[in-house]
Amino acid sequence: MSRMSRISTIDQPEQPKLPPIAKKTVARARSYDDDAFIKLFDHRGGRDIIIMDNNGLPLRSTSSQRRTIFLVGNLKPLLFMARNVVRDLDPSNDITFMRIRSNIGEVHMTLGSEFILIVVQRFKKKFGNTEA
Amino acid sequence: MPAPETEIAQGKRTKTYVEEVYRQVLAKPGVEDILIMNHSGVPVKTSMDRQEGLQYACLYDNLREKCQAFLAKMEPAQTLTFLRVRTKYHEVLITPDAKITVLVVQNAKDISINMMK
Repeated sequence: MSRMSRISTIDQPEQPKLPPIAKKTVARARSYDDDAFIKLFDHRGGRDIIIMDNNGLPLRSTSSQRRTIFLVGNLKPLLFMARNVVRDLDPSNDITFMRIRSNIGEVHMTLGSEFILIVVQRFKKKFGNTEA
Repeated sequence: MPAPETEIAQGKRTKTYVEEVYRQVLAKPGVEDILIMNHSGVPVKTSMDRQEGLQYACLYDNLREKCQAFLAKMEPAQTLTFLRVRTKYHEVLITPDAKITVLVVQNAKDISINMMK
């Protein structure tokens, strides 16, 4: 049951074209909309996807409300801080993408013209700190 | 002075190591600038002008600290290995390391999949 306003998938121009997916019942208490994009990533393991509008309000998410709010509350200031850094150094420049990588997982943040997409994923193999 | 290769193998972060990193990264395609900071964020070696280097170091080191704080807050506590900020014109890669932090500015159009080591 979606408590958030509906955004049709055609308003997200930067999403890749995905083949149509057979609908499967999602084994969770809450159900998502007929959002083929979200359903596709549901099958892959260890990945959280959050779609936000330009101001940082979460619109769609594959994780629970609580975790989404926790992630957005931390990542949105980071993203806007990075944007300020980039603009400070060069006012004509603007950030398009930010990737934070740890030894256990990775966070990708993509800024489109009308939305912000966040992907949080975990690795199966653990990488240590990079050493030369 | 020991050869840079043995030093790299031992993982010592001395001056020759820094020189070697500087040289190797600048040789890679697409790289515009490189900045190496010590653990307190002071630029040690850079290919930009001093003023610009100081600005980059200060701003991006601040950002890196905030990212590290975010990762430490997550469950389970993680450590930052790599930070990459991509903009319209270029891409900035920040690699925090034991005693140095390397910041590389590279051309956005020329992406080769060379992870900076």
